[in-house]
Amino acid sequence: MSDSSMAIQIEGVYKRFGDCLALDDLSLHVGYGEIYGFLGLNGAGKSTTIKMLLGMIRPDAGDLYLTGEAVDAGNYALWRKIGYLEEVAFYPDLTVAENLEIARRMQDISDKAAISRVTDQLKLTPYINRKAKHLSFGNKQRLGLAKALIHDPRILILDEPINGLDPAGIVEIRELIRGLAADKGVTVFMSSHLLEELSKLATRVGIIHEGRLLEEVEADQLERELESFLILDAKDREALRRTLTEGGYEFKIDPQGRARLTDERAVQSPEILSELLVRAGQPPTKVDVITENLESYFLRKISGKAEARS
Amino acid sequence: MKKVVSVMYCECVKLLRSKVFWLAFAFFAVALGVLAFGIKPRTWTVFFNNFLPLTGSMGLIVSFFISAWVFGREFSDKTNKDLIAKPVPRTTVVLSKFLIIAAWSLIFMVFLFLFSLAMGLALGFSGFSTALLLHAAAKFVVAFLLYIFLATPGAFFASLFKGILAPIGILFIVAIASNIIGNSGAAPYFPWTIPTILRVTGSLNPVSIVILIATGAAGLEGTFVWWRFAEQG
Repeated sequence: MSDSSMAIQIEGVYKRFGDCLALDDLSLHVGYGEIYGFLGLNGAGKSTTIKMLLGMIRPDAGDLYLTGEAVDAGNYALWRKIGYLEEVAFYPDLTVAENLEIARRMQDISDKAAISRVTDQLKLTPYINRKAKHLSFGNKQRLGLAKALIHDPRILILDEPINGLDPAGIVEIRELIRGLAADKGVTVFMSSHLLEELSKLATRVGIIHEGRLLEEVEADQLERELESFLILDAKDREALRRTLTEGGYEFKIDPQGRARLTDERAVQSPEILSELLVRAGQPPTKVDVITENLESYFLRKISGKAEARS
Repeated sequence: MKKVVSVMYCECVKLLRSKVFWLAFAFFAVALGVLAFGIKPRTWTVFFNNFLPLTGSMGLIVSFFISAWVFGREFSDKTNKDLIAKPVPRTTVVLSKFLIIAAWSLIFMVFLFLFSLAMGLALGFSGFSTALLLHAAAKFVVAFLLYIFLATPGAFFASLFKGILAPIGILFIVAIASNIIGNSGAAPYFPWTIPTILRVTGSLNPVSIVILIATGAAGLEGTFVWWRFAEQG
């Protein structure tokens, strides 16, 4: 059932390629004006989902809607509202202007000024007469985005849009996307395998693994989701472990042989634990409270869910 | 109609900016020049009866290649995905491409004919007559037009195999098979030898006509259906 209050709606989608189940009962909803980060490892199902949203492949089961309209290859009027960068592609022997002229005509827009507007927006104006094949990688990516934006879409679907960009280019594209959402209310659905990058831009992040949506997190909740732990080491590791056990602390041994504690008492008050060890004649040689980074969080989530499922 | 014209404009730009378009003319000009030098004796009768039919049979290679290239280059440039998920029906895109293929093939036909004549004039052939020219020209044009119609499977195979290499391979097989079958009794039943039968005998049996129409129509229909329903993964 379509819901026109949602910009993007995916309902119970399955897709199998031979023996591989690419999407397994995938459902998600994205509201208007949201920047939805779609996170997953390579092969997790991100590109399949995006191709399906663009009507390039069909689901074996389930439904997809954009602005409340069913995604279907025959519903071509729908694409007037959608911009996408699925893979950077262009006609190599054509100039930037000619590539964009083709994009303008394919988008069926009569306003010729759209080309200069989008080249200004993406800082491509100095390269307007350069053949696309002679552009730098970053500018090729910009050209791809220019084609996606030339018709002022309501929804922008981007598959790994920052791949290959240098740090300055990443910041620039990030600001552009943020501006589109904030100023024009464009809904952005972007995939990446880099949580760090998505967390800087997305309002919500969905984690996909093995074709299933594992979790959705509001971006401002992400920091709170990060796990902290305490790393302890001593000269006599056996005695250290014994003292911790006697003190009622749960711990694991990390690959370097150090004790790793996720116990809240230990993480919140490491000085109490240090005191205990000193009193036991095992002064710690290392006391480190570490907060995992976003990538570790992501890997923990997918490995945890994979274990739970197996 | 407006959309067809607009998409055709895009196809024209792509074509005129590609090296392949110009290299194809240069290649066939050189090939014709070399072949024309070998004509003996240098009379217009030999030219119109032997050389021009040979030029006409190039229509098979030219139009099949053009058909395969116009569709296949979208896959090699990965721009096939820029043709879908657009507010232009996919059938419009495919129709525009076929119209461009027809236009390019017709331009090629005129080029090959005029270039052949120019070679004949430059080499000082003797025994020219307008009747001879018109008779040969009519046969040349009809055979070439049939080859253009029979080139539609090139577009279908370029789409199906997502590139230009597979249809070029199929073109080689078709060209070799045409040579072998052309010398056998099966020539009226192999689509790409039927234009030669028409040129030589001046008529076709009903089965040949059906085979010819079915082949061209299957290439057209197959390409339209493929672009409408095939997954673009």
